[in-house]
Amino acid sequence: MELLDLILIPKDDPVAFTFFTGYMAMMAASLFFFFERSSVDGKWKLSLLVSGLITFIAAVHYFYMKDVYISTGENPTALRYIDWTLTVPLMCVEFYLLTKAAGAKKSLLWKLILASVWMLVFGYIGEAFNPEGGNTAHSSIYGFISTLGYLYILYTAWIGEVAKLAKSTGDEAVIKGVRTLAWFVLVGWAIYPIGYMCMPGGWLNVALGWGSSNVDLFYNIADAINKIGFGLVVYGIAVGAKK
Amino acid sequence: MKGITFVFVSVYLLVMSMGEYIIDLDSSVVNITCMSLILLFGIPHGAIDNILFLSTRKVSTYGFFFIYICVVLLNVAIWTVLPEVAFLIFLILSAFHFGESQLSQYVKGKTRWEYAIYTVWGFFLLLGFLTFNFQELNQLAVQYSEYELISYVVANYDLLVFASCFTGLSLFGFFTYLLAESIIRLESVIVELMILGLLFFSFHLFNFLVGFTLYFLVLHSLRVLLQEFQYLKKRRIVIGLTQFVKKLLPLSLVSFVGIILIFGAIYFKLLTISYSYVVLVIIATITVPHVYVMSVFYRHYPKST
Repeated sequence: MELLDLILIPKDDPVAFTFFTGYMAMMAASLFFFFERSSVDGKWKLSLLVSGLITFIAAVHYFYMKDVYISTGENPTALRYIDWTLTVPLMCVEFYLLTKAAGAKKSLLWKLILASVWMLVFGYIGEAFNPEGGNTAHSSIYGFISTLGYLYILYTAWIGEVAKLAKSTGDEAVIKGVRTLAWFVLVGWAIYPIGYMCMPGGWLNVALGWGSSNVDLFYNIADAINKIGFGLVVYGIAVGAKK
Repeated sequence: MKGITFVFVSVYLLVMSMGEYIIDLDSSVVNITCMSLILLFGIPHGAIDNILFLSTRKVSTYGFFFIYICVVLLNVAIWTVLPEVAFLIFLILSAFHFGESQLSQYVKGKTRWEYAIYTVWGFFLLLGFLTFNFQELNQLAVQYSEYELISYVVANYDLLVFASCFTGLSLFGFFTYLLAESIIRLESVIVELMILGLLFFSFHLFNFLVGFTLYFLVLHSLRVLLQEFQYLKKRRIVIGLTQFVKKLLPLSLVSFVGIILIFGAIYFKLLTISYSYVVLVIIATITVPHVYVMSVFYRHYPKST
């Protein structure tokens, strides 16, 4: 009997495994956030909707990315960056929504979105236009420029406007929640550069011999931690915050 | 995460993003850059020892400088006669001083236990540095006879690993104690452990001077400069940054001129030692009185959790 349109996941391929797991986890998380939306106070509904959108957009992209990877064995770089271009700014929207009650202005939202787009555009140039066989100078320079955008978001979340606004809410759940999200930015987002440095010409590829298949492995792990984790923290704030 | 930790993480990530580039650079370029940065920030952070000490103790300026210079000269004498002993003193004092500057924001250094925590933190850092750069430092000791004393501390790899694990576990125990006594918050402990992890990773990846510079420049010198600025501002000894820089300038310039003169003497073969060895001796001799002054300073510096 022939199974049509069924893509088999090789038993010894952790990348394919994480693609499929990522897809299922993102979809499950989306359902959770959408259904739980009705159980939280009105002011948190939009935050949970955004959390659900982040994981749903990622789930759709993972559905296609796993097929691309399993069929061709190649990194689905373009799809990956399309996913991030939509979801990372949405994560920045979460910061804005959480601190809006404390007086966060639209300018904060735009600054965070700009920083995230900066980070992604230069990351994309560094990765997608990496010459055949890899070029250390190319990946290092664009990695360096991209990191500047990341550092701006890190600063805003830990020390800058977001941190100050969260403190000024006086709501322990918001303060703790924003701090947890800041930890996600610091630790969770830092997994992405590890993947980036595994591409041909990347430092970990050259120095430690970590192959380019590790790029997707690290990205998948990071996505699962950050997107679902980010949403769960927002859910925790919504459940624990003052009415 | 405090401002200085953010600066450290930022510099760290930017250096990491250019990691392969830095490794490929000519070693002399890397060494000169690191040495210059260590001197450029290291000297100013100790250049207002007189102001800091005199703001806390009733001693005349002349008296302070007399004792300070005597201690420096005595240390130079020890370096000349017994370099092994001088090196050991330097290591112990450095460990204590590094730990104090890192942890004084949590513990004030009033009891023996708190002094022990500082020293253990410093030794853990130094042992990690020696362990991760074991081969490199051994080669240095073999190639250059004047660095022979380094071979004493990097003689046995297994011993270094054991000592690192022992101090690491001791430090973990101290942190647990501080947590249990609510002296320090869990988040602060995680940040401190993350910093140590990042430092060790840089010691492992880079040449020993790059890894050390990353620590010494940002986490030590810049941190101390910032603490000194905040302290003097609070005491209204300085109003703004410009005035603070002006306070740093006199003794920094005297030190730089002194170093240039010594380098000149080496260049014209009046002294037959290497530039880097001179830098080591200069740093070591200044460290001795500086550690005492800073310890007095930290007792007056406000703490956080």
